[in-house]
Amino acid sequence: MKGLLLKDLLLLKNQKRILPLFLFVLIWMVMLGSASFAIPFLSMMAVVLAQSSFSYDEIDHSDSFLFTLPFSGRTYVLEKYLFSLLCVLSVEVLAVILIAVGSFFAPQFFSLQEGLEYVIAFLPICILLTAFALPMRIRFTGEQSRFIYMALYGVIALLFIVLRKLVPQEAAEKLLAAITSVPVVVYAVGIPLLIILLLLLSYRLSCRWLKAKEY
Amino acid sequence: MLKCTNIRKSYPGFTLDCSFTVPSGRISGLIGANGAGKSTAFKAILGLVRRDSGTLSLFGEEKEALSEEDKRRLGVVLADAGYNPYLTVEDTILIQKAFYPAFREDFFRQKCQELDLPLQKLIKDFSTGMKAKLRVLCAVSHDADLLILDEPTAGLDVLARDQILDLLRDFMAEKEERSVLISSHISADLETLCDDFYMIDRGKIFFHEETDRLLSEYGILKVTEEELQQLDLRYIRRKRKESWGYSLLCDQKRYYFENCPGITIEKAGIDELIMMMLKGEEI
Repeated sequence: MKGLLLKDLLLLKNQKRILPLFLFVLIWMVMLGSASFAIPFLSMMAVVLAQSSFSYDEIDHSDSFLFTLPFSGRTYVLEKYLFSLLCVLSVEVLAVILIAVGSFFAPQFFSLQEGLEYVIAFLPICILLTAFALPMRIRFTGEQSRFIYMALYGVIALLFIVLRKLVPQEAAEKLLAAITSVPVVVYAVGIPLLIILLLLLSYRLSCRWLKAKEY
Repeated sequence: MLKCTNIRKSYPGFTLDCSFTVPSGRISGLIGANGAGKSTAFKAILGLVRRDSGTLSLFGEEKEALSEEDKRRLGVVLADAGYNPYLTVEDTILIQKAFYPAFREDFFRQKCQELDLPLQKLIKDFSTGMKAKLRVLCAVSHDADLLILDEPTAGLDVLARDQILDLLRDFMAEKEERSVLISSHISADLETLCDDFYMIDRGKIFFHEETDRLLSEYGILKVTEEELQQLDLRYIRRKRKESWGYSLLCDQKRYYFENCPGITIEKAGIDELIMMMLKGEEI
């Protein structure tokens, strides 16, 4: 596990050109009025960044050599989950630190409270995306995975459009009211439990698909 | 050390079905043309492809799949893959230390210096020879018991090949119970290194011999049609039609030296053996 994590972190050095982009997004959002808007974008970037470790593993067939090193398939899968979560968390923590520093010097552009709200909202979304993306990336090639993501985003967008047309405004408002009336504690407990459950399912699927792979 | 019994793996148009043994303290070679099944055999041993059937015995135990501990006792070189090209040698040191408790960092650094392998350069910027040297060096640096080397000298000049073969000789000299399974299509490398070798073609092992016996007892007889008619064919394994007559592969050249003084008998090396075994007819 340690060796695999080290390998992915060392390969991450090659992605250092992404740092200026990170700062650019932050500055751009500041100019648009709120630095906190950068968090959703940067979180998604972190998910994509973590996925790139698979592409690195496949360069010049280095994955066939990698799998001769002393680790099991389960360890490889577990490391990918840890690495992905580490990327997402690091980016969000970094964003919050920058917003906290910014809020000290320019509170009109940076709001720490707003930043934290975004982090709380987007962390579960990023984890869910990771839980979906990792087994896909293990099962399919990078190209195929990108096609699946695009198709999925298309289906979700289509679903929203259809629902908006089909569900009457009154019913939608009622549903929203029902959602907001649920005590916070239900979300505080239910969402982490749901995420853990989905992560476990995703992990099992990843292990099964990895076992079927040949190099 | 390693015993493969009827290891079978089928692809459309190709089936690997082979058995061979690498005893403790020995260097065994696997020889064959491109596409003969050498790499598939290595991958089947290493679990990189699933075996359809057959048994694998490693370090004295039958294995369905290799455990982490088994892999720790192996040093592996694959023909077309190594550490990620976007890592530096310094990076691989950190990774190898994490994977192998027995990794010998001082030895590795010293050898990098001797072999002119820069520590801070990305592997992707290495020459073919530097990459090959690094792969073999990584395989011999963690006190492995068995090396599995697929074409470790492919595409290298004579100096680089010699450095790699020296690394392997030193590795074997350190502990006498260590073993090596090596494939190569450069027969000269195998003749000087291997104790015995297997020949593979179309996924099947068709010949196994001790290197010493091959070099001392096998020979190629050059005969005319008339000489062939009168020749004792007891020790002839293959014949091949040539423009001037026949080439005959024999496994007791001394017999023909003593009994057929007029016949030209040439040394049979691995290359000649491959040609005769694959292109020649059975007697």
